[in-house]
Amino acid sequence: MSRDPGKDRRVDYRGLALAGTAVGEIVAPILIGVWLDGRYGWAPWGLAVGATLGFVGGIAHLIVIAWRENKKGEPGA
Amino acid sequence: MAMDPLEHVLDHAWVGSVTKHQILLVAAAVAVAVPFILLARRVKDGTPPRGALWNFLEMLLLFIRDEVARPNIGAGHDHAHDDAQHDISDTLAAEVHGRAPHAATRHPADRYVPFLWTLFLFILTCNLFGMVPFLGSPTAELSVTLVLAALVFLVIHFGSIAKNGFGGWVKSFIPHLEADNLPMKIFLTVLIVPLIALIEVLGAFIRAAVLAVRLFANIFAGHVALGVILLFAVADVHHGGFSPGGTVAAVLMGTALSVLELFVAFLQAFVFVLLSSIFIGLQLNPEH
Repeated sequence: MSRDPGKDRRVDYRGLALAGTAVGEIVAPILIGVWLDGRYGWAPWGLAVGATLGFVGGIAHLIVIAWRENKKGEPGA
Repeated sequence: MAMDPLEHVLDHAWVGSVTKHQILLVAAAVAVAVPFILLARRVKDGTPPRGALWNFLEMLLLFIRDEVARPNIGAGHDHAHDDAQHDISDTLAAEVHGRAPHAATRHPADRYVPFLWTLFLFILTCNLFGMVPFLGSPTAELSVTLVLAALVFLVIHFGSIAKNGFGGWVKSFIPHLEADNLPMKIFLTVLIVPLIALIEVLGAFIRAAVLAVRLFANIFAGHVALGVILLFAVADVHHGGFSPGGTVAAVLMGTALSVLELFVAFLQAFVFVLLSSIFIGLQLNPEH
């Protein structure tokens, strides 16, 4: 790793942070849904809504993040 | 010596009903505050550092400021500041005396640097307490790391409100999606944007939770692993079945693992501060 490209390192670390959060954003709604099912007896709606939110929302957010990062990487952006 | 490794890691009452971790937390706060405030007062007039401790302090703090805080918090697209090298006394003087350094030399990230410094030194001290016999790491407890993460959460969001205004802060949770045609635009606006906004809000809490769990799990797991391996050394005395060779191996492995733990103590303090500054930067400069 050369000394100067601090920006490259920054992207690496940011990717690490974003990746950890993205996984959490897909898994957490599902776990919260399952917990609500158990706590309030909402089965199967907690899991259904949680899984929908986690899958659709989480993946959509992941795509938006990737798109933003990609746009930033373009020359002249 | 308790044969349950968890007993060596989990908190327990030390003085009356005050627990070990509570005392160590206060000790860590004092251990960070006293020498570093004294050193900061000496550094503030720009005197070149003298002595090993002073140089070590300056190296540690400059690393956090120049390699962690400034590149990650930054000022959006403007990286002109990033390459600027300033004296440490500049940032310290501002915090110790509450006077602003020269406006041209003040990097936007410098507002958060004292918080990140305090966080780093405090977590490092707490982690290192775990390397001292008969003491323990307060950071091996989820409640401690959750409070630290909650502080970071507050700094992230109040910092964002202070910089971008309340409206800007709310808008940072709502994605801006472009569409070519009307049906796609309606689909995105009605279905996808609310979902992503909800996930973004959830994500704000997840970031803090991830910070807390990462620090807790690393320190806790390291100490439990160390406890288990070291207990092998005395297992034969209590239960038989272990040869003297096993005891020697356990002590050697325990020593090696202790060295690893020493590294992990620094690494996890660094990772906590690094992720905090990345999250602060993401929230301060949304969608650019």
